[in-house]
Amino acid sequence: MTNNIKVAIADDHKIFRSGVINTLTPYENINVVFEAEDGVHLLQIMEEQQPDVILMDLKMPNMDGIEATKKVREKYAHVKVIVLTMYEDDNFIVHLIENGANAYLLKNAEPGEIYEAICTTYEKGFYFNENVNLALLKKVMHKTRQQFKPTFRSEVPLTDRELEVLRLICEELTTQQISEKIFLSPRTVEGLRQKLLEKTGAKNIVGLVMYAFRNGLIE
Amino acid sequence: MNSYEVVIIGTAVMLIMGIFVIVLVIFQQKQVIQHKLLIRDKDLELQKERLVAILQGQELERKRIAEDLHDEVGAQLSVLKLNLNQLQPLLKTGNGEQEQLKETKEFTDTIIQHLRFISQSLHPQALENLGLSRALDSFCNMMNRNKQVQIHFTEDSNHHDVEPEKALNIYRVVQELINNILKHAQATQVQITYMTTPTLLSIYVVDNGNGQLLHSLENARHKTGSLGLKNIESRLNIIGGTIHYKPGVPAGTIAEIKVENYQHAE
Repeated sequence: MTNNIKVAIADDHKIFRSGVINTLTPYENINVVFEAEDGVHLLQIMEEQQPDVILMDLKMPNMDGIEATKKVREKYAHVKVIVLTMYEDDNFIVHLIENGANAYLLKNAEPGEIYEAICTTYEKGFYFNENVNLALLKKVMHKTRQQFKPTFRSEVPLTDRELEVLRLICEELTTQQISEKIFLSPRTVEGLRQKLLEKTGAKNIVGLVMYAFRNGLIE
Repeated sequence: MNSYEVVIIGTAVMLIMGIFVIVLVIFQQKQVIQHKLLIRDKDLELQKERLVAILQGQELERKRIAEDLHDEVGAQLSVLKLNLNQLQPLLKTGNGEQEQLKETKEFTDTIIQHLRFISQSLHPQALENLGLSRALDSFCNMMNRNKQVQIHFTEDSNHHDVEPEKALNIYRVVQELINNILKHAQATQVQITYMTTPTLLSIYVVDNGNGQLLHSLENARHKTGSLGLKNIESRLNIIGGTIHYKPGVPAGTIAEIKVENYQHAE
């Protein structure tokens, strides 16, 4: 067994804090050193004493757990933060991990998992369960997909008019039909069409449609 | 001066007076019409203000209920689960006590899951903390857990901020649209595409359903007085946005939401 781990709990619900403390009592190497009611309170106490691991709620008055995690990370690099929250949301998970949380648990996690997370973050610096892994994986895959599929505006800035014409071209409308639909002269539509070819680097309409497809403009 | 001249001058004077009277009447009527138009504009303005106030009140109330449910009831349920766990070593074995405890714990988890769903539908917490596009992504994740339909969310990499009041309205429009697709379109797949330029925010909601979305919406409005479509329109009206529906290729419906000047309040 590892030596004594000093744990702090920041949560605005006393009943939940007591619940967690009761749960952790049987584990002899865990020592709950203090409780805080919100982020401000937590940082106040931490000026005096620092725990090894903080169990951090997200939704708290005065200063929430997102802000408090950032502050702890800035001031006390060695203190580990385990988010313990009701929010089961990939976007929150990614955001918190990016902002310095070492683990992310749900409040209805098994006590065994809370204990394991405390020990693992203390020893290895992080504890990622399946929820965290999936959220991070999704984020990474999303990023790579975006690299392969450049969006219109970042790569080729098309105007809204040009986008509209491109979409109508993809719907197999002729220049004449397009001009009637968006109230422009056929000459102007032809001009926009030419501009689209130039901007996307396509050689013909097929290339243009392929471009629209690749960029997820049409289904 | 002979009588002939008198008649001519008299007629001329009468004519001029007549024309004068007619011009006066026309002028006055124009003023009346203008006044009426002014009153109507003011009425419309007032109506819009009232609608905004109602919607804001509604959102405030939803937020309060969502937070009470999520934070208070949620915390209590989590404690319940922790307490159940502490029972485990105290239980006798042999008569299925352990199994029953396990079932009770699982049931508690199910309740917590329901609570999350209700609370997030009432008020999206991610909207305030992470912004509109992340909140919409979270909304899709949540809907996908229900498995009724597969919703894909893609966004460009521009990350422009959206004014909070407008963001909430746009979120509600997409939410209402998806609810309507679930109810009426018989779709299995929905693609939401989110794009921004500094001045224009566009969201495309494309479903692969029966293409009857608009038709069914109109029907529902006549039959049951369903307000789905009306809600979408009023919310967009408030923030100066538009929505257009087009038939999809090869099937389904494409809804195109556009909001200009989305980074600043009206």
